[in-house]
Amino acid sequence: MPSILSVQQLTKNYGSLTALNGLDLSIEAGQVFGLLGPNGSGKTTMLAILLDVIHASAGTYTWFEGRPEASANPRRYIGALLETPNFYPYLNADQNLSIIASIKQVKNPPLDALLDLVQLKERRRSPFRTYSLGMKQRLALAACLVGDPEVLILDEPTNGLDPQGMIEVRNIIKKIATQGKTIILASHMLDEVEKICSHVAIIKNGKRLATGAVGSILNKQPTVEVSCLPPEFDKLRTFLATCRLVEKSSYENTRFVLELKPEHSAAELNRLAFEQGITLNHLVTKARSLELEFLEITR
Amino acid sequence: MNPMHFLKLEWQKFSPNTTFRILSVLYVVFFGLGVWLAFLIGRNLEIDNNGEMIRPAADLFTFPRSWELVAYAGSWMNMILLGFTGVFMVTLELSNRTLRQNIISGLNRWDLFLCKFTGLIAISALATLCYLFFGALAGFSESSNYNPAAALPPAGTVVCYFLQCLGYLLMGTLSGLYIRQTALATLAYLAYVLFIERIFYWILYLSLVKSSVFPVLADILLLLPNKVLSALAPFPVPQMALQMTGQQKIFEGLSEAGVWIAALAYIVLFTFLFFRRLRKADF
Repeated sequence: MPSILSVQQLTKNYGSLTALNGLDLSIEAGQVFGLLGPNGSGKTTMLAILLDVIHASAGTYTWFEGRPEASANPRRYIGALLETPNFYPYLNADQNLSIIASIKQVKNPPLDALLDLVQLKERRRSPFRTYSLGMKQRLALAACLVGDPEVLILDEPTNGLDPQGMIEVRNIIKKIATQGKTIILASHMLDEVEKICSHVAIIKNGKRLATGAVGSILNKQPTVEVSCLPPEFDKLRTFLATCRLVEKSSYENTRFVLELKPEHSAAELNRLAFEQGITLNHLVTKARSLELEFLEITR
Repeated sequence: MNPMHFLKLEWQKFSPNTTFRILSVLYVVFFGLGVWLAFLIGRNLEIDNNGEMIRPAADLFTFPRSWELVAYAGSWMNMILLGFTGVFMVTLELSNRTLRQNIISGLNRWDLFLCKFTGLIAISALATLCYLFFGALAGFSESSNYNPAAALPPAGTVVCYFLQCLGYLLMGTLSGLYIRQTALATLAYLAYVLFIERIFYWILYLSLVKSSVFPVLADILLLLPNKVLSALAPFPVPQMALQMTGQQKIFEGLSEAGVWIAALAYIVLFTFLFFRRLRKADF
């Protein structure tokens, strides 16, 4: 897969505050890449640097490696929504999108189709200042799509929206993702990233803590709780300590909480325990919470 | 992108803006009013020259001298309205974060500078056209039996007017770019051109009068930005009166070439600062 973005040792200092601290990242074409991190972790700062809105203190980045024409002015090939939608308040949707089209040098942009996609066709002649937050956000999504860019950067696209607005925006993003575009989605909302992204990088305090496919980073392996009658308790403890199925185990409230290795099941564990002469009187499989996983990584 | 593309982009952004439209209308209306008032009052102006009453303004309203008076009337519009237009064109974009969005959408910093600079050049050109219109209107309405060649505006005066427009627009733009808030930037700009520089000039001028280096330093004081830009379209009456009374100058001042060089130097400096700020700023 060709590299769309490669970031090396990106650093941004604001006086004594380090917003980004030697961040490395690589994104390939076609990935829906999530930047996950708590508020203030440096996600927006990184995207702002990548979009040339702010200057990095150190480090480099390359867009569209091996494609000189695209890497000379990458933002013509990128549609981006950074933080809040920024438009001319006295201009309507058509006029604002026409300005974006002029900047991207797109002749005859398909405004009808774009406004249709974001359900703003009815209000296309209203000034931007009269829009609700959800409408502004949807117009920003339409603006991202002007010129049919290869890459979309969406920074907290559902921020400040009501549940209805969130669903609308997420549906639009999902629709766009099916078109095979590379999407970089920054969010602190775990379920949003899990539902939309194929790959993820977790950032905290300007540092990258983990990166990879969503499945490998955000462990989807369920946790298993097991327990037995007191006479067999020590036996169970010894068994779990050496069991090849168990990745991690901890003891909580008279029960063992286990994380099994991939491709192993609670049924297998039960069978092995039984073969060792241990009868489990409690065996519960629990889907591992994404929040828990995230908290564990960012701890 | 070519200059026409930049111009189209600026036009798309600002032409529907109400404040921008009002400023444009005010420029034309006040310019016309200023010329009309100057002509109304100036026709009857008399100066006592050792008991002999002379009318220095007698031919100020006919070609070719009328061009100077109209330029002077326009210079006030340039200082106040064009300066404010410069402030507004930047702070409007900063407050709505649209400069940031323009970069995100694909303009690089150099394009952004060219876009704004092309806009300022176009406004200066339109203001100069406005000057030519009122100059011609005033001249034709007052002149009779003039040599047709004299009706043409002196090239130097037209270029000076254009440079003055550009200079004030750039000053306003810089004020907006550094201060970032419309009200504060406007206040700072107007306070500087209307009061601060003038007060500063006179305080230094008066404190230097008795100094041995007075003539040199007094000339240096004339190099203050607003003094230089104002000198591109000076008040023509004193100069006429002096010529009529056989004198050359009342005040020591910069030569015409000096004004040109200083004005161009300021425009280059302002343009450089403008570009530097756009290149270095985090939006």
